Amino acid sequence: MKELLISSLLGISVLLFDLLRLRRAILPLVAAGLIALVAVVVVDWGTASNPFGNNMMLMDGYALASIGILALLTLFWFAITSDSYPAQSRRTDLYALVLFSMTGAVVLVSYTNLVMMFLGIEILSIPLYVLVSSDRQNPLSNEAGFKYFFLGAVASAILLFGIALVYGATGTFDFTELGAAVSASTSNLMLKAGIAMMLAGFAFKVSAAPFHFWTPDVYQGSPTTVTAYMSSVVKAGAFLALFRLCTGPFSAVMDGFTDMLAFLAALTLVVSNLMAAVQTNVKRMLAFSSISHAGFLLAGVMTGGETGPGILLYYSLTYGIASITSFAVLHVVSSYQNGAMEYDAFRGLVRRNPFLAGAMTIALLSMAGIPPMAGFMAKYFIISGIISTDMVWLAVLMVLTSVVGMYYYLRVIIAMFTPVENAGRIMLRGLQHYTYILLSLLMIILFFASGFFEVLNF
Amino acid sequence: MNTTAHLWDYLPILIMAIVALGFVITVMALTHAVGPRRKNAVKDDPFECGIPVQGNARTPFSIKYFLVAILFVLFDVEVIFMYPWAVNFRELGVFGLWEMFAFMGLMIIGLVYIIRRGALKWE
Repeated sequence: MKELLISSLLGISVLLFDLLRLRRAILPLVAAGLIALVAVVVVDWGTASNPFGNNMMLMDGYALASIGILALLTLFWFAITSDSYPAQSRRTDLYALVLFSMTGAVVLVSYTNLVMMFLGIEILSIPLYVLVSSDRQNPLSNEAGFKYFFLGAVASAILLFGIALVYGATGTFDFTELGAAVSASTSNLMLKAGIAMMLAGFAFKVSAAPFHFWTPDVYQGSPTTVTAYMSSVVKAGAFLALFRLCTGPFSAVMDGFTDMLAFLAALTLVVSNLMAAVQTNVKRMLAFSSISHAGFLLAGVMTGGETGPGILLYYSLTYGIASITSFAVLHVVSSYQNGAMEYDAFRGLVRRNPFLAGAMTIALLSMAGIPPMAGFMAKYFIISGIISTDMVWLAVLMVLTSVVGMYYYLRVIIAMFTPVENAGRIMLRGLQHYTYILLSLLMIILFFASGFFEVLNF
Repeated sequence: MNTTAHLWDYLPILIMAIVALGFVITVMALTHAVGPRRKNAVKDDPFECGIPVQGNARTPFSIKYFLVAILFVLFDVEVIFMYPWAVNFRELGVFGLWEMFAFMGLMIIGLVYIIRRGALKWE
Protein backbone atom coordinates (compact mmCIF):
# COMPACT_ATOMS: atom_id res chain seq x y z
CA MET A 1 0.00 0.00 0.00
CA LYS A 2 2.75 2.44 0.98
CA GLU A 3 4.59 1.80 -2.27
CA LEU A 4 1.53 2.59 -4.36
CA LEU A 5 0.80 5.74 -2.34
CA ILE A 6 4.35 7.03 -2.62
CA SER A 7 4.59 6.49 -6.36
CA SER A 8 1.21 8.05 -7.19
CA LEU A 9 1.54 10.96 -4.77
CA LEU A 10 4.99 11.68 -6.18
CA GLY A 11 3.51 12.41 -9.61
CA ILE A 12 0.85 14.67 -8.10
CA SER A 13 3.42 16.44 -5.92
CA VAL A 14 5.37 17.27 -9.07
CA LEU A 15 2.29 19.05 -10.46
CA LEU A 16 1.73 20.75 -7.11
CA PHE A 17 5.33 21.97 -6.94
CA ASP A 18 4.91 23.46 -10.39
CA LEU A 19 1.77 25.27 -9.26
CA LEU A 20 3.55 26.59 -6.18
CA ARG A 21 6.35 27.89 -8.41
CA LEU A 22 8.93 25.56 -6.85
CA ARG A 23 10.20 24.30 -10.20
CA ARG A 24 13.80 24.13 -9.03
CA ALA A 25 12.77 21.75 -6.27
CA ILE A 26 11.02 19.28 -8.58
CA LEU A 27 14.08 17.17 -9.45
CA PRO A 28 15.26 16.90 -5.83
CA LEU A 29 11.69 15.98 -4.88
CA VAL A 30 11.56 13.23 -7.52
CA ALA A 31 14.93 11.88 -6.45
CA ALA A 32 13.93 11.92 -2.78
CA GLY A 33 10.61 10.25 -3.57
CA LEU A 34 12.16 7.45 -5.63
CA ILE A 35 14.86 6.87 -3.00
CA ALA A 36 12.09 6.75 -0.38
CA LEU A 37 10.31 4.16 -2.53
CA VAL A 38 13.43 1.99 -2.60
CA ALA A 39 13.88 2.51 1.15
CA VAL A 40 10.28 1.44 1.85
CA VAL A 41 10.86 -1.69 -0.22
CA VAL A 42 13.99 -2.49 1.79
CA VAL A 43 12.23 -1.86 5.12
CA ASP A 44 9.19 -3.94 4.13
CA TRP A 45 11.32 -6.76 2.75
CA GLY A 46 10.58 -10.06 4.42
CA THR A 47 7.63 -8.80 6.46
CA ALA A 48 4.31 -10.51 5.89
CA SER A 49 1.90 -8.34 3.95
CA ASN A 50 -1.85 -8.53 3.61
CA PRO A 51 -3.80 -8.04 0.42
CA PHE A 52 -5.51 -4.68 0.28
CA GLY A 53 -8.28 -2.99 -1.65
CA ASN A 54 -10.68 -6.00 -1.53
CA ASN A 55 -7.97 -8.48 -2.54
CA MET A 56 -6.96 -6.33 -5.49
CA MET A 57 -3.26 -6.09 -4.75
CA LEU A 58 -0.67 -7.84 -2.62
CA MET A 59 2.81 -6.54 -1.86
CA ASP A 60 4.54 -9.91 -1.68
CA GLY A 61 8.27 -10.48 -2.05
CA TYR A 62 8.08 -10.58 -5.83
CA ALA A 63 6.14 -7.31 -5.95
CA LEU A 64 8.53 -5.60 -3.54
CA ALA A 65 11.64 -6.71 -5.44
CA SER A 66 10.06 -5.62 -8.72
CA ILE A 67 9.05 -2.23 -7.34
CA GLY A 68 12.57 -1.73 -6.03
CA ILE A 69 14.01 -2.42 -9.46
CA LEU A 70 11.45 -0.23 -11.24
CA ALA A 71 12.12 2.63 -8.83
CA LEU A 72 15.88 2.26 -9.30
CA LEU A 73 15.54 2.26 -13.10
CA THR A 74 13.31 5.34 -12.97
CA LEU A 75 15.82 7.04 -10.67
CA PHE A 76 18.64 6.27 -13.11
CA TRP A 77 16.48 7.59 -15.94
CA PHE A 78 15.89 10.86 -14.12
CA ALA A 79 19.57 11.15 -13.20
CA ILE A 80 20.83 10.62 -16.72
CA THR A 81 18.23 12.65 -18.63
CA SER A 82 17.72 15.51 -16.19
CA ASP A 83 20.18 17.78 -17.98
CA SER A 84 19.21 16.87 -21.51
CA TYR A 85 16.34 19.32 -21.86
CA PRO A 86 16.80 23.01 -22.62
CA ALA A 87 16.77 24.98 -19.39
CA GLN A 88 13.75 27.07 -20.32
CA SER A 89 11.51 24.18 -21.37
CA ARG A 90 8.69 23.02 -19.16
CA ARG A 91 9.54 19.56 -17.95
CA THR A 92 6.86 19.25 -15.31
CA ASP A 93 4.44 17.49 -17.64
CA LEU A 94 7.04 14.99 -18.77
CA TYR A 95 8.19 14.25 -15.24
CA ALA A 96 4.67 13.86 -13.91
CA LEU A 97 3.68 11.60 -16.81
CA VAL A 98 6.75 9.42 -16.33
CA LEU A 99 5.92 9.05 -12.65
CA PHE A 100 2.27 8.24 -13.39
CA SER A 101 3.43 5.65 -15.90
CA MET A 102 5.73 4.17 -13.26
CA THR A 103 2.73 3.98 -10.93
CA GLY A 104 1.09 1.79 -13.56
CA ALA A 105 4.15 -0.46 -13.48
CA VAL A 106 3.90 -0.62 -9.67
CA VAL A 107 0.29 -1.78 -10.03
CA LEU A 108 1.35 -4.27 -12.68
CA VAL A 109 3.83 -6.07 -10.43
CA SER A 110 1.56 -6.29 -7.39
CA TYR A 111 -1.91 -7.07 -8.74
CA THR A 112 -3.87 -10.09 -7.56
CA ASN A 113 -6.91 -9.42 -9.70
CA LEU A 114 -7.32 -9.34 -13.46
CA VAL A 115 -9.21 -6.02 -13.31
CA MET A 116 -6.27 -4.46 -11.51
CA MET A 117 -3.94 -5.93 -14.11
CA PHE A 118 -5.84 -4.24 -16.90
CA LEU A 119 -5.94 -0.97 -14.97
CA GLY A 120 -2.20 -1.21 -14.44
CA ILE A 121 -1.57 -1.74 -18.14
CA GLU A 122 -3.68 1.29 -19.01
CA ILE A 123 -2.04 3.48 -16.34
CA LEU A 124 1.30 2.38 -17.77
CA SER A 125 0.31 3.04 -21.39
CA ILE A 126 -1.81 6.19 -21.42
CA PRO A 127 0.93 8.55 -20.16
CA LEU A 128 3.21 6.92 -22.73
CA TYR A 129 0.95 7.88 -25.63
CA VAL A 130 1.43 11.50 -24.58
CA LEU A 131 5.14 11.11 -23.87
CA VAL A 132 5.81 9.51 -27.25
CA SER A 133 4.24 12.45 -29.09
CA SER A 134 5.65 15.07 -26.70
CA ASP A 135 8.03 16.43 -29.36
CA ARG A 136 5.14 18.37 -30.85
CA GLN A 137 7.00 20.09 -33.69
CA ASN A 138 8.37 16.82 -35.03
CA PRO A 139 6.05 14.98 -37.47
CA LEU A 140 7.82 11.68 -36.71
CA SER A 141 6.97 12.04 -33.04
CA ASN A 142 3.32 12.73 -33.84
CA GLU A 143 3.23 9.73 -36.15
CA ALA A 144 4.78 7.58 -33.45
CA GLY A 145 2.20 8.75 -30.94
CA PHE A 146 -0.67 7.94 -33.26
CA LYS A 147 0.72 4.53 -34.18
CA TYR A 148 1.34 3.64 -30.59
CA PHE A 149 -2.07 4.87 -29.50
CA PHE A 150 -4.11 3.07 -32.14
CA LEU A 151 -2.20 -0.20 -32.03
CA GLY A 152 -2.02 -0.01 -28.25
CA ALA A 153 -5.77 0.43 -28.08
CA VAL A 154 -6.29 -2.63 -30.29
CA ALA A 155 -3.91 -4.65 -28.12
CA SER A 156 -5.74 -3.51 -25.00
CA ALA A 157 -9.02 -4.59 -26.59
CA ILE A 158 -7.60 -8.04 -27.38
CA LEU A 159 -6.28 -8.32 -23.85
CA LEU A 160 -9.63 -7.26 -22.44
CA PHE A 161 -11.45 -9.77 -24.62
CA GLY A 162 -9.10 -12.43 -23.32
CA ILE A 163 -9.88 -11.41 -19.74
CA ALA A 164 -13.59 -11.59 -20.56
CA LEU A 165 -13.24 -15.12 -21.94
CA VAL A 166 -11.26 -16.20 -18.88
CA TYR A 167 -13.97 -14.69 -16.70
CA GLY A 168 -16.60 -16.49 -18.73
CA ALA A 169 -14.83 -19.80 -18.20
CA THR A 170 -14.04 -19.39 -14.52
CA GLY A 171 -16.47 -16.79 -13.18
CA THR A 172 -13.87 -14.85 -11.22
CA PHE A 173 -11.16 -12.23 -11.52
CA ASP A 174 -9.49 -13.01 -8.22
CA PHE A 175 -6.15 -14.82 -8.34
CA THR A 176 -6.80 -17.35 -5.60
CA GLU A 177 -10.21 -18.36 -6.95
CA LEU A 178 -8.90 -18.16 -10.50
CA GLY A 179 -6.01 -20.49 -9.72
CA ALA A 180 -8.41 -23.07 -8.26
CA ALA A 181 -10.87 -22.72 -11.14
CA VAL A 182 -8.12 -22.98 -13.76
CA SER A 183 -6.60 -26.12 -12.32
CA ALA A 184 -10.10 -27.63 -12.08
CA SER A 185 -10.84 -27.03 -15.77
CA THR A 186 -7.53 -27.24 -17.60
CA SER A 187 -9.04 -28.44 -20.88
CA ASN A 188 -11.74 -25.77 -21.11
CA LEU A 189 -11.53 -24.34 -24.63
CA MET A 190 -12.90 -20.92 -23.66
CA LEU A 191 -10.30 -20.62 -20.94
CA LYS A 192 -7.52 -21.57 -23.35
CA ALA A 193 -8.73 -19.07 -25.95
CA GLY A 194 -8.88 -16.38 -23.28
CA ILE A 195 -5.35 -17.08 -22.07
CA ALA A 196 -4.06 -17.12 -25.66
CA MET A 197 -5.64 -13.72 -26.31
CA MET A 198 -4.21 -12.33 -23.09
CA LEU A 199 -0.77 -13.59 -24.10
CA ALA A 200 -1.20 -11.92 -27.50
CA GLY A 201 -2.12 -8.65 -25.81
CA PHE A 202 0.93 -8.89 -23.59
CA ALA A 203 3.12 -9.84 -26.55
CA PHE A 204 2.12 -6.52 -28.10
CA LYS A 205 2.90 -4.57 -24.95
CA VAL A 206 6.32 -6.19 -24.58
CA SER A 207 6.90 -5.93 -28.37
CA ALA A 208 7.46 -9.61 -29.15
CA ALA A 209 7.30 -10.71 -32.78
CA PRO A 210 4.91 -10.94 -34.65
CA PHE A 211 3.33 -8.13 -32.60
CA HIS A 212 6.42 -5.94 -32.79
CA PHE A 213 5.72 -3.83 -35.87
CA TRP A 214 4.99 -0.66 -33.91
CA THR A 215 8.22 -0.79 -31.93
CA PRO A 216 10.84 0.47 -34.42
CA ASP A 217 8.70 3.38 -35.60
CA VAL A 218 7.59 4.39 -32.13
CA TYR A 219 11.04 4.04 -30.60
CA GLN A 220 12.55 6.03 -33.44
CA GLY A 221 9.89 8.73 -33.53
CA SER A 222 9.62 9.49 -29.85
CA PRO A 223 12.12 11.77 -28.11
CA THR A 224 15.23 9.72 -27.29
CA THR A 225 14.84 10.22 -23.56
CA VAL A 226 11.32 8.81 -23.74
CA THR A 227 12.62 5.87 -25.74
CA ALA A 228 15.12 5.21 -22.96
CA TYR A 229 12.27 5.12 -20.46
CA MET A 230 10.10 2.89 -22.65
CA SER A 231 12.80 0.34 -23.30
CA SER A 232 13.70 0.04 -19.62
CA VAL A 233 10.93 0.68 -17.08
CA VAL A 234 7.96 0.01 -19.34
CA LYS A 235 9.42 -3.16 -20.79
CA ALA A 236 10.42 -4.42 -17.35
CA GLY A 237 6.99 -3.63 -15.93
CA ALA A 238 5.15 -5.43 -18.72
CA PHE A 239 7.35 -8.52 -18.46
CA LEU A 240 7.14 -8.67 -14.68
CA ALA A 241 3.35 -8.46 -14.99
CA LEU A 242 3.31 -11.26 -17.57
CA PHE A 243 5.47 -13.40 -15.30
CA ARG A 244 3.16 -12.76 -12.33
CA LEU A 245 0.25 -13.92 -14.46
CA CYS A 246 1.94 -17.01 -15.92
CA THR A 247 3.39 -18.30 -12.66
CA GLY A 248 0.38 -17.28 -10.60
CA PRO A 249 -3.20 -18.23 -11.52
CA PHE A 250 -2.38 -19.73 -14.93
CA SER A 251 0.50 -21.92 -13.79
CA ALA A 252 -1.68 -25.04 -14.02
CA VAL A 253 -2.27 -24.64 -17.76
CA MET A 254 1.01 -22.98 -18.75
CA ASP A 255 2.44 -26.27 -19.98
CA GLY A 256 -0.04 -26.11 -22.84
CA PHE A 257 1.25 -22.70 -23.87
CA THR A 258 4.95 -23.45 -23.77
CA ASP A 259 5.02 -24.14 -27.51
CA MET A 260 3.28 -20.87 -28.24
CA LEU A 261 5.66 -18.87 -26.05
CA ALA A 262 8.67 -20.72 -27.44
CA PHE A 263 7.50 -19.93 -30.98
CA LEU A 264 7.04 -16.25 -30.08
CA ALA A 265 10.47 -16.12 -28.46
CA ALA A 266 12.19 -17.84 -31.39
CA LEU A 267 10.46 -15.65 -33.99
CA THR A 268 11.25 -12.53 -31.96
CA LEU A 269 14.93 -13.43 -31.71
CA VAL A 270 15.35 -14.22 -35.40
CA VAL A 271 13.33 -11.32 -36.82
CA SER A 272 14.72 -8.65 -34.51
CA ASN A 273 18.36 -9.60 -34.87
CA LEU A 274 18.21 -9.89 -38.66
CA MET A 275 16.37 -6.57 -38.92
CA ALA A 276 18.75 -4.86 -36.51
CA ALA A 277 21.73 -5.96 -38.56
CA VAL A 278 20.54 -4.11 -41.68
CA GLN A 279 19.69 -0.80 -39.98
CA THR A 280 21.71 2.32 -40.70
CA ASN A 281 20.14 4.38 -37.92
CA VAL A 282 21.49 3.65 -34.46
CA LYS A 283 18.20 4.53 -32.74
CA ARG A 284 16.32 2.09 -34.96
CA MET A 285 19.02 -0.51 -34.40
CA LEU A 286 18.63 -0.08 -30.64
CA ALA A 287 14.86 -0.45 -31.06
CA PHE A 288 15.30 -3.79 -32.82
CA SER A 289 17.86 -4.74 -30.18
CA SER A 290 15.20 -4.00 -27.59
CA ILE A 291 12.86 -6.40 -29.40
CA SER A 292 15.54 -9.08 -29.37
CA HIS A 293 15.87 -8.67 -25.61
CA ALA A 294 12.11 -9.14 -25.41
CA GLY A 295 12.75 -12.56 -26.96
CA PHE A 296 15.17 -13.40 -24.16
CA LEU A 297 12.81 -12.13 -21.49
CA LEU A 298 9.98 -14.16 -23.01
CA ALA A 299 12.15 -17.24 -22.68
CA GLY A 300 12.78 -16.17 -19.08
CA VAL A 301 9.02 -16.07 -18.47
CA MET A 302 8.77 -19.63 -19.84
CA THR A 303 11.38 -21.09 -17.52
CA GLY A 304 9.54 -20.00 -14.37
CA GLY A 305 10.34 -22.23 -11.42
CA GLU A 306 12.22 -21.44 -8.24
CA THR A 307 14.87 -19.19 -9.69
CA GLY A 308 12.62 -17.72 -12.40
CA PRO A 309 11.67 -14.45 -10.68
CA GLY A 310 15.24 -13.68 -9.66
CA ILE A 311 16.51 -14.29 -13.20
CA LEU A 312 13.79 -12.15 -14.75
CA LEU A 313 14.45 -9.31 -12.29
CA TYR A 314 18.17 -9.56 -12.93
CA TYR A 315 17.68 -9.44 -16.69
CA SER A 316 15.26 -6.50 -16.40
CA LEU A 317 17.68 -4.56 -14.23
CA THR A 318 20.80 -5.19 -16.30
CA TYR A 319 19.09 -4.63 -19.64
CA GLY A 320 17.31 -1.56 -18.26
CA ILE A 321 20.55 0.05 -17.14
CA ALA A 322 22.32 -0.76 -20.41
CA SER A 323 19.39 0.53 -22.42
CA ILE A 324 19.02 3.78 -20.46
CA THR A 325 22.74 4.41 -20.82
CA SER A 326 22.88 3.70 -24.54
CA PHE A 327 19.84 5.83 -25.39
CA ALA A 328 21.13 8.67 -23.18
CA VAL A 329 24.50 8.60 -24.97
CA LEU A 330 22.72 8.51 -28.31
CA HIS A 331 20.67 11.54 -27.25
CA VAL A 332 23.75 13.56 -26.32
CA VAL A 333 25.70 12.52 -29.42
CA SER A 334 22.90 13.23 -31.85
CA SER A 335 22.14 16.60 -30.25
CA TYR A 336 25.71 17.59 -31.17
CA GLN A 337 25.23 16.42 -34.77
CA ASN A 338 21.99 18.20 -35.70
CA GLY A 339 20.00 15.15 -34.71
CA ALA A 340 21.92 12.71 -36.90
CA MET A 341 21.65 9.17 -35.60
CA GLU A 342 23.57 7.19 -38.19
CA TYR A 343 26.55 5.06 -37.24
CA ASP A 344 28.81 7.83 -38.55
CA ALA A 345 27.54 10.19 -35.86
CA PHE A 346 29.51 8.12 -33.36
CA ARG A 347 32.82 8.45 -35.17
CA GLY A 348 35.63 9.59 -32.94
CA LEU A 349 33.47 9.74 -29.85
CA VAL A 350 36.30 8.40 -27.74
CA ARG A 351 38.21 11.62 -28.42
CA ARG A 352 35.20 13.88 -28.19
CA ASN A 353 34.15 12.60 -24.80
CA PRO A 354 35.80 9.51 -23.30
CA PHE A 355 33.15 9.20 -20.59
CA LEU A 356 30.35 8.86 -23.10
CA ALA A 357 32.35 6.48 -25.27
CA GLY A 358 33.27 4.34 -22.27
CA ALA A 359 29.72 4.18 -20.96
CA MET A 360 28.37 3.39 -24.44
CA THR A 361 30.97 0.65 -24.95
CA ILE A 362 30.14 -0.99 -21.65
CA ALA A 363 26.39 -0.70 -22.27
CA LEU A 364 26.62 -2.22 -25.76
CA LEU A 365 28.93 -5.01 -24.60
CA SER A 366 26.50 -5.71 -21.77
CA MET A 367 23.62 -5.95 -24.22
CA ALA A 368 25.71 -8.17 -26.48
CA GLY A 369 26.51 -10.40 -23.51
CA ILE A 370 30.27 -10.14 -23.14
CA PRO A 371 31.81 -10.83 -19.73
CA PRO A 372 32.55 -9.09 -17.41
CA MET A 373 29.40 -7.11 -18.15
CA ALA A 374 26.20 -7.97 -16.34
CA GLY A 375 24.42 -8.76 -19.60
CA PHE A 376 26.48 -11.92 -19.94
CA MET A 377 25.23 -13.37 -16.67
CA ALA A 378 21.66 -12.34 -17.54
CA LYS A 379 21.81 -14.22 -20.83
CA TYR A 380 23.62 -17.11 -19.18
CA PHE A 381 20.88 -17.53 -16.57
CA ILE A 382 18.13 -17.54 -19.15
CA ILE A 383 19.88 -19.91 -21.56
CA SER A 384 20.71 -22.35 -18.77
CA GLY A 385 17.12 -22.12 -17.58
CA ILE A 386 15.90 -22.93 -21.08
CA ILE A 387 18.26 -25.89 -21.34
CA SER A 388 16.95 -27.25 -18.05
CA THR A 389 13.44 -27.22 -19.51
CA ASP A 390 14.63 -29.44 -22.39
CA MET A 391 14.32 -26.89 -25.15
CA VAL A 392 17.84 -27.10 -26.42
CA TRP A 393 16.87 -25.86 -29.89
CA LEU A 394 15.74 -22.54 -28.41
CA ALA A 395 18.95 -22.23 -26.42
CA VAL A 396 20.99 -22.84 -29.58
CA LEU A 397 18.93 -20.24 -31.41
CA MET A 398 19.57 -17.76 -28.59
CA VAL A 399 23.31 -18.21 -28.82
CA LEU A 400 23.27 -17.95 -32.63
CA THR A 401 21.19 -14.78 -32.64
CA SER A 402 23.45 -13.30 -29.96
CA VAL A 403 26.31 -13.73 -32.41
CA VAL A 404 24.33 -11.71 -34.96
CA GLY A 405 23.81 -9.17 -32.20
CA MET A 406 27.55 -8.82 -31.78
CA TYR A 407 27.76 -7.54 -35.35
CA TYR A 408 25.56 -4.50 -34.93
CA TYR A 409 26.72 -3.66 -31.42
CA LEU A 410 30.35 -3.77 -32.48
CA ARG A 411 29.64 -1.50 -35.45
CA VAL A 412 28.85 1.33 -33.03
CA ILE A 413 31.92 0.56 -30.93
CA ILE A 414 34.17 0.48 -34.01
CA ALA A 415 32.72 3.81 -35.14
CA MET A 416 33.44 5.32 -31.74
CA PHE A 417 37.07 4.30 -31.89
CA THR A 418 37.56 5.41 -35.51
CA PRO A 419 39.63 8.60 -35.51
CA VAL A 420 38.00 11.64 -37.05
CA GLU A 421 39.43 15.02 -37.96
CA ASN A 422 38.55 18.28 -36.22
CA ALA A 423 35.63 17.03 -34.17
CA GLY A 424 34.61 19.28 -31.29
CA ARG A 425 34.47 17.99 -27.76
CA ILE A 426 31.14 17.10 -26.23
CA MET A 427 30.49 18.81 -22.93
CA LEU A 428 28.34 17.30 -20.22
CA ARG A 429 26.61 19.41 -17.64
CA GLY A 430 26.47 19.11 -13.88
CA LEU A 431 26.54 15.64 -12.41
CA GLN A 432 26.22 13.87 -15.76
CA HIS A 433 29.76 12.49 -15.72
CA TYR A 434 29.15 10.86 -12.38
CA THR A 435 25.90 9.33 -13.56
CA TYR A 436 27.60 7.74 -16.55
CA ILE A 437 30.44 6.46 -14.37
CA LEU A 438 27.97 5.09 -11.80
CA LEU A 439 25.89 3.26 -14.41
CA SER A 440 28.99 1.86 -16.11
CA LEU A 441 30.30 0.60 -12.79
CA LEU A 442 26.91 -0.89 -11.97
CA MET A 443 26.92 -2.88 -15.19
CA ILE A 444 30.19 -4.46 -14.11
CA ILE A 445 29.36 -4.79 -10.39
CA LEU A 446 26.09 -6.55 -11.21
CA PHE A 447 28.09 -9.20 -13.05
CA PHE A 448 29.74 -10.18 -9.79
CA ALA A 449 26.56 -9.67 -7.76
CA SER A 450 24.54 -11.97 -10.01
CA GLY A 451 24.61 -14.80 -7.45
CA PHE A 452 22.45 -12.69 -5.17
CA PHE A 453 19.66 -12.63 -7.73
CA GLU A 454 19.95 -16.31 -8.50
CA VAL A 455 19.20 -17.26 -4.93
CA LEU A 456 16.51 -14.61 -4.55
CA ASN A 457 13.58 -16.55 -3.24
CA PHE A 458 10.03 -15.51 -2.67
CA MET B 1 -57.82 -7.00 -17.74
CA ASN B 2 -56.00 -6.83 -20.99
CA THR B 3 -52.49 -5.46 -20.45
CA THR B 4 -50.96 -6.44 -23.78
CA ALA B 5 -49.47 -3.48 -25.60
CA HIS B 6 -50.50 -3.03 -29.21
CA LEU B 7 -49.05 -0.82 -31.84
CA TRP B 8 -52.29 1.14 -32.21
CA ASP B 9 -51.97 2.15 -28.55
CA TYR B 10 -49.33 4.56 -29.81
CA LEU B 11 -51.71 6.08 -32.36
CA PRO B 12 -52.22 9.27 -30.25
CA ILE B 13 -48.47 9.85 -30.33
CA LEU B 14 -48.45 9.55 -34.11
CA ILE B 15 -51.38 11.95 -34.39
CA MET B 16 -49.62 14.36 -32.00
CA ALA B 17 -46.46 14.21 -34.13
CA ILE B 18 -48.38 14.83 -37.32
CA VAL B 19 -50.25 17.76 -35.75
CA ALA B 20 -47.04 19.31 -34.41
CA LEU B 21 -45.25 18.96 -37.74
CA GLY B 22 -48.27 20.14 -39.67
CA PHE B 23 -48.63 23.22 -37.44
CA VAL B 24 -45.03 24.24 -38.03
CA ILE B 25 -45.25 23.70 -41.80
CA THR B 26 -48.59 25.54 -42.06
CA VAL B 27 -47.43 28.54 -40.04
CA MET B 28 -44.16 28.85 -41.92
CA ALA B 29 -45.85 28.55 -45.30
CA LEU B 30 -48.46 31.08 -44.20
CA THR B 31 -45.95 33.70 -43.07
CA HIS B 32 -43.97 33.35 -46.28
CA ALA B 33 -47.12 33.66 -48.40
CA VAL B 34 -48.93 36.41 -46.49
CA GLY B 35 -46.14 38.54 -45.01
CA PRO B 36 -44.97 41.67 -46.88
CA ARG B 37 -41.36 41.87 -48.17
CA ARG B 38 -39.35 45.06 -47.80
CA LYS B 39 -35.66 44.81 -48.70
CA ASN B 40 -32.99 47.49 -48.50
CA ALA B 41 -29.25 47.61 -47.87
CA VAL B 42 -29.52 48.75 -44.26
CA LYS B 43 -32.00 46.05 -43.37
CA ASP B 44 -29.91 43.26 -44.87
CA ASP B 45 -26.89 44.38 -42.88
CA PRO B 46 -25.94 42.10 -39.99
CA PHE B 47 -26.58 43.92 -36.74
CA GLU B 48 -24.09 43.69 -33.91
CA CYS B 49 -24.86 46.13 -31.10
CA GLY B 50 -24.64 49.09 -33.45
CA ILE B 51 -20.95 48.48 -34.23
CA PRO B 52 -20.12 48.56 -37.97
CA VAL B 53 -19.51 45.07 -39.36
CA GLN B 54 -15.94 44.08 -40.13
CA GLY B 55 -15.01 41.34 -42.55
CA ASN B 56 -16.80 38.10 -43.26
CA ALA B 57 -18.61 36.12 -40.62
CA ARG B 58 -17.65 32.87 -42.34
CA THR B 59 -14.02 32.74 -41.20
CA PRO B 60 -12.91 29.40 -39.84
CA PHE B 61 -11.81 29.39 -36.23
CA SER B 62 -10.59 26.51 -34.17
CA ILE B 63 -12.75 25.17 -31.42
CA LYS B 64 -10.56 22.69 -29.61
CA TYR B 65 -13.17 19.98 -29.54
CA PHE B 66 -10.77 17.39 -28.21
CA LEU B 67 -10.04 19.67 -25.29
CA VAL B 68 -13.72 20.23 -24.62
CA ALA B 69 -14.29 16.50 -24.92
CA ILE B 70 -11.43 15.60 -22.60
CA LEU B 71 -12.55 18.11 -19.99
CA PHE B 72 -16.06 16.75 -20.31
CA VAL B 73 -14.81 13.19 -19.77
CA LEU B 74 -12.85 14.40 -16.76
CA PHE B 75 -15.89 15.81 -15.03
CA ASP B 76 -18.06 12.97 -16.24
CA VAL B 77 -15.81 10.43 -14.55
CA GLU B 78 -15.76 12.58 -11.44
CA VAL B 79 -19.55 12.50 -11.29
CA ILE B 80 -19.61 8.76 -11.97
CA PHE B 81 -17.60 8.34 -8.79
CA MET B 82 -19.85 10.66 -6.86
CA TYR B 83 -23.13 8.85 -7.59
CA PRO B 84 -22.31 5.60 -5.74
CA TRP B 85 -20.75 7.67 -3.00
CA ALA B 86 -23.91 9.73 -2.63
CA VAL B 87 -26.06 6.58 -2.52
CA ASN B 88 -23.89 5.06 0.21
CA PHE B 89 -23.22 8.35 1.97
CA ARG B 90 -24.67 7.31 5.33
CA GLU B 91 -22.96 3.91 5.45
CA LEU B 92 -19.57 5.32 4.50
CA GLY B 93 -19.86 8.13 7.04
CA VAL B 94 -16.94 10.41 7.85
CA PHE B 95 -14.46 8.04 6.22
CA GLY B 96 -16.28 8.32 2.91
CA LEU B 97 -16.44 12.08 3.25
CA TRP B 98 -12.69 12.37 3.66
CA GLU B 99 -12.07 9.92 0.84
CA MET B 100 -14.22 12.08 -1.42
CA PHE B 101 -12.36 15.19 -0.26
CA ALA B 102 -9.07 13.49 -1.16
CA PHE B 103 -10.43 12.52 -4.57
CA MET B 104 -11.77 16.01 -5.25
CA GLY B 105 -8.50 17.51 -4.03
CA LEU B 106 -6.52 15.46 -6.53
CA MET B 107 -8.95 16.43 -9.28
CA ILE B 108 -8.66 20.10 -8.42
CA ILE B 109 -4.85 19.98 -8.41
CA GLY B 110 -4.97 18.56 -11.92
CA LEU B 111 -7.57 21.08 -13.04
CA VAL B 112 -5.70 24.08 -11.64
CA TYR B 113 -2.53 22.76 -13.22
CA ILE B 114 -3.97 22.48 -16.73
CA ILE B 115 -5.65 25.90 -16.45
CA ARG B 116 -2.32 27.40 -15.36
CA ARG B 117 -0.72 25.69 -18.35
CA GLY B 118 -3.16 27.59 -20.56
CA ALA B 119 -5.33 24.65 -21.54
CA LEU B 120 -8.42 26.84 -21.83
CA LYS B 121 -6.74 29.52 -23.97
CA TRP B 122 -7.15 28.71 -27.59
CA GLU B 123 -6.12 31.10 -30.30
